[in-house]
Amino acid sequence: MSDTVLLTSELLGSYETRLRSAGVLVDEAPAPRSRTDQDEITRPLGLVLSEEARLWWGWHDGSSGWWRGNCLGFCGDGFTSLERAVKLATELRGVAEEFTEEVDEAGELLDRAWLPFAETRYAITIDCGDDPGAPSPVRNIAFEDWSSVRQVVAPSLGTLVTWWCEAIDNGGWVWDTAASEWVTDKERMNPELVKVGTW
Amino acid sequence: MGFVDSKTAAQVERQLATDLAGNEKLSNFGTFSAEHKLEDERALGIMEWEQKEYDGVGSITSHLDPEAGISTSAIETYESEIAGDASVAIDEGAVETEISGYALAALRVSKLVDAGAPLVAPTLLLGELVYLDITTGSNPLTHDVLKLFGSDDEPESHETTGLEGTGIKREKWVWVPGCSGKTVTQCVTYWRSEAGESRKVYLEWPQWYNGSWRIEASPPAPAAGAYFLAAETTETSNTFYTAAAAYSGGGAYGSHEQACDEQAAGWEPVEPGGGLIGWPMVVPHSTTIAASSEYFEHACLFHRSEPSEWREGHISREAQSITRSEEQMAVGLTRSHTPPEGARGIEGTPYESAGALREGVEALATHLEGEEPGHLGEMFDHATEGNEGKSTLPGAHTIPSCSGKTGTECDELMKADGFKHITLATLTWAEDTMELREERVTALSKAPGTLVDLDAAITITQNPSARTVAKKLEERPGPKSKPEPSKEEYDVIAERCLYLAAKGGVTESECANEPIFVSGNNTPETTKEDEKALEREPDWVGLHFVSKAEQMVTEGWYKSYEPCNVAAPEGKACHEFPFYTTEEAGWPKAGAKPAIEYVKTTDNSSQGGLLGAFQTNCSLSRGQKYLYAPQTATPSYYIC
Repeated sequence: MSDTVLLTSELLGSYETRLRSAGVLVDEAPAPRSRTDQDEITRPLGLVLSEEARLWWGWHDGSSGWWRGNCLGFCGDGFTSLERAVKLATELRGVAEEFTEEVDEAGELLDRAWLPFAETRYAITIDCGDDPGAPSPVRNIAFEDWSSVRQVVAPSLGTLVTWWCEAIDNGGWVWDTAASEWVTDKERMNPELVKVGTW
Repeated sequence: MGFVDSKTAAQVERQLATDLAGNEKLSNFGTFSAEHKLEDERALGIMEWEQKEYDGVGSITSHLDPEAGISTSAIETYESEIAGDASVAIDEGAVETEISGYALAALRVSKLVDAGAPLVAPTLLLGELVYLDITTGSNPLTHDVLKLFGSDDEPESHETTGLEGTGIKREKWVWVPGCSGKTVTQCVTYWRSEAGESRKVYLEWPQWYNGSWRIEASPPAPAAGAYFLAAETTETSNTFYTAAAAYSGGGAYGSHEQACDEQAAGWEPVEPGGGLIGWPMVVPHSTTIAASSEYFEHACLFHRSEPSEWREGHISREAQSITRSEEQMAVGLTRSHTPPEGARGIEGTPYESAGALREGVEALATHLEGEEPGHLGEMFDHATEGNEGKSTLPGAHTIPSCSGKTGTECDELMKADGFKHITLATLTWAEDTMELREERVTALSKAPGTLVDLDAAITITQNPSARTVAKKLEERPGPKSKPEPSKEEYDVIAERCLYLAAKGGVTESECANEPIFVSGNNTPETTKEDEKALEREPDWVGLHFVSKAEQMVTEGWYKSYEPCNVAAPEGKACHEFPFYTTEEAGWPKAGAKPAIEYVKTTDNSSQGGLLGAFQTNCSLSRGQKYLYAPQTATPSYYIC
């Protein structure tokens, strides 16, 4: 796996520049979430956001609601706002609890530190572990395959965003303005990103 | 009618002539002259004879009256007319009712009075005996009929006391003026335009029974809204009902006297062996009415009211006409009408439900469709086949409702009721009625609520049994997180598996032995979507596991296809079936396109969670086959 990159404001800005250049973004961006807001919203979950998570939701509330077409990469049904992330986490925790007795070997189906930032049929999660300053591993949760639930698909959110930028730079992802959709070319993408599971 | 039994045509004529000459009672009626009476009654006698002919006695050509000018070809012409759809529309107040099939009733008269002139849809409107027997021929009897019941010179209506001694009493005759020489259509058109009260042709029940011989045990009048062509004419309604009963009731047939003797000692029969004719009432086959004891009692009471008149054959032409024509009318109505939705028969009878009535009517109509035209009487013979001459009425019983019962329970129920010939048929799994549980009755060859002869063959059709497979399922491990299904739930799972297996080309033994994943009612949206998909592609009952890591299909492939190619509504996720972790997943590829649909996120996640548990805890290996049996009758489950 590639070197772990921590997410920064600069990296996010660089990513946004690429999106804007491609014509993906609309002008009306969601407002970012302040740290105070973030703490208030996530309190019901009983977790503390990692620094990477705070930066993510501090960037236009992490939502893809201001994107044209389907969102990029493995975001599936879209990047979630922090409020939606909390709601989705609650739902998934409820489902996961149904199977507590079943997962002796696999461990918990949904760790309580995992917070969805993208919605698929299940979720892509960022791991808000004990050390807020540490890299936040990313997982592509799919309850229908327990063997993959705990598998880390990117060592940090920063690493994942780096792969996205590379994909755009290398023609792995090309925005088709006329069709208003992304055209993907796996050959031009980081193999690690391909393994994450793209659409 | 007794006086034509066992007589030749010539004897009948002589008898008629004698009877008419000395019968003062008949002369009391209207302007009916002796001469006309002779011709009229003669025709009637022959008509009766022909009736017997239809029952298989003698040859029709050997008994035709030359004076009536009837030829075989004429009869054939008429009979072909019967097969047509003669109809006449009659206004009943604001309701326009089309009455079809009257031509059949009229035929019996027409072919006697018309010597071969074209039949112009003669019709007979029952209830008031208004003969619209209009032909272009010059047969005198045709004229007489008109003269008797209506002529250009007669008043539009008048009161009459009917015929003394016959038990027939009417309060009102409706006359049909201005119809001489007109066709039926012309006459009816004229009648409607001039009189404007065509509803007068209908008698109401109380009127029918007014008089000294009022029946004590009359059948109930039709309830409001009851179906029958003329709700006002109870006698017609009852005949209609009877005709239906005659067929569907399986022919509770005996003879009039036998049955009535059981009702009242001392009554003397006039028509040994039963038969189709001779009853001075609206019920052509009282024996069929044995199905309705109430009505039968009425028939006997009626009969007993004037026994001497019957024995001696002094039966009015009108009385017989009523009997015969209403019988025929019943058939005509039956042929042309089926009860509408919500219709009810007569309260208090076994046919009071629309379903039972309809069953009878439809059976009768079906039978009639297959009959040669003109063989009206055979209909009743058919219905009563094998029961003629029995000294007592054979047993009959109402078919019980077996709704919700197993075939065995239904069989026992019917046996307890006395039915003797019951066959229990079991559907295959491919034929299984999934709306009903295993072994439940899916159909009866006789409709519940109908009266059926105890000797009749009855077939009970039931769903197959899943118990053997279900017992095997009970022994196999399932999820730790879910309560074990009850015995009944295991049955449901087995039923569903067997049903889908039969549809999808999977063997029954696979349901007993292969892992089964069951999506149930705790994830209703996904389960229903999968059920729909299986209806479309039954082969997907058999799926083959592949882990996500081994899956060659790109995850989220569905994002390029409707309806999942747009952002998901909040709380919804795109559900794909066959599942992503199967070899059958993905598109485009060979085979059918998977089903994709936005469903409730939690339903999708929960189903996925259990699927993951199933695949993990049952240790499915790559390519291993398992069966998928979604249904919403039980919670989700799996069986390793």
